[in-house]
Amino acid sequence: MTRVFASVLTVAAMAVVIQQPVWAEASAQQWLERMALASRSLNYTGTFVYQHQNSLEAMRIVHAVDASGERERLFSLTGPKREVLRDNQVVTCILGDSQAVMVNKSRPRTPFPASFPKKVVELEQNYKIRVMGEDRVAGLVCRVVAVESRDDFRYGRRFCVHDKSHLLLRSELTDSKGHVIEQVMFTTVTFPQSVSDRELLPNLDGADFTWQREPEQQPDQGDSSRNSRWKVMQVPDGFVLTDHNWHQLSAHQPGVEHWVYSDGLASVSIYIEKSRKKHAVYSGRSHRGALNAFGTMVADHYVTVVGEVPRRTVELIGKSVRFQ
Amino acid sequence: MSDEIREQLSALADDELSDVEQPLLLGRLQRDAELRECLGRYQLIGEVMRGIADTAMLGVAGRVRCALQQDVEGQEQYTLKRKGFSWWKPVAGFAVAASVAMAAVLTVSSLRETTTGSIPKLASGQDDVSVVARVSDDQWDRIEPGIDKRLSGYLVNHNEYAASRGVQGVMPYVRIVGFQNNEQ
Repeated sequence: MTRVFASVLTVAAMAVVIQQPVWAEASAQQWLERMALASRSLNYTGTFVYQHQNSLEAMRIVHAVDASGERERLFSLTGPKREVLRDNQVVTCILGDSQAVMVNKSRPRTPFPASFPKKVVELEQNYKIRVMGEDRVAGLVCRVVAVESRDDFRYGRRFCVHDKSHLLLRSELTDSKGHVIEQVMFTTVTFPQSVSDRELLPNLDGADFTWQREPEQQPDQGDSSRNSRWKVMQVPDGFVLTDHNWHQLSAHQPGVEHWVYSDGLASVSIYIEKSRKKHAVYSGRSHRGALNAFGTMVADHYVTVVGEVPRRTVELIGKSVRFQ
Repeated sequence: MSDEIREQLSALADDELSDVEQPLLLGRLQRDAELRECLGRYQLIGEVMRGIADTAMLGVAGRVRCALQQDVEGQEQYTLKRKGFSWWKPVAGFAVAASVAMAAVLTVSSLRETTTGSIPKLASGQDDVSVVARVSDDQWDRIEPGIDKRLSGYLVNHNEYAASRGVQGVMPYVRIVGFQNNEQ
């Protein structure tokens, strides 16, 4: 199975190259295809800055791909010590500042889905996508691809994609006026032939921390939104239901119903969880960088909407959730 | 490297070097790999700084230069203090350029009047009823710890779904690793 994974990535990468040998003439769609593939199929290590509002944080990422699949380590270089380790089985978040470790199952990242070109075409219903000029990030030449939102319900993006590896070197989230509201930019990046296991080990062991594990067995309540007594009455044009599940995010918590809507670029999750006595209700809105959240109570359930979309979008969706 | 050369490199990166000095410095750059590397870092920092030009105050460039001077004096690591919080200890000398940019940004940020809202307080209530933490336009990490824990669980789960869906802009988990609790 693992060899199949590596083979699929290799074939997909070759297909991209064969389809368009002259990168300079590539379309926006091809740039996005290559960008999506590169982040999953390359070995790379790099330092980058993450800017949001008035803050600027530095982080380092180590990403490795081999026959066993993808492995990734992301850790902070500034502020609280935090690390996220991810492989094909689990995602482990080690939060040094709150002395907590969260272990969740990872979801398979589709290795270059066959439907991708179709998805890009669909994207153009909600976004205007253009290939712009060249720029330089971390000393590397990259091509700017601008993805402008056609309405106020989603953010725009400006990607700067490395012309050789197609790795995304700079990513900006923009509001409806084109102002940058969040930015990730590599300051150094390398593409090693191989990545040692040592580089993928955490600095924090988390032994004395509080652990929160997602149980192996998930509640079996059917796999269709049709079984649900909940309805999401309104989402902005272009958003479609892509997933519906019941999870138990921690052994100590009850199950939560999860709806995912996506427009192909932005995703919005709706979590519905039975309220518990003595537990505070999250009611209102908040944000983490450009990721917005909206919470409300409906029929004795916590309804929480999160997504990298504007506040009005999570609020619109959250207020339309109904129990039937 | 002398202070004068550093000043000239910084001025070149800002396109402020005089016509007299420019050809001399460019000549040195052709011969000196260390200088070229240093210029690359200065330009990179310039890019970072321009990216935040809308929110940062004027005078940033000067602070960057000061920070750069401190940086290259063989200082392998240093700690930034803000509100008594220890900000940075480089893991292994990574992100020197990023750290210098941050030094300037954080210096500026600490001078700015913060616009933080009040921390939402839980309404008092009886033990057997749920209490409401009403949050309005607030930072995620300032909300009540129990809610924050639940939201963090949602965020990790949401990341996995968002990341499995093709085109990604901001890398998954950056918002978990890089988010600073401003109340610290």
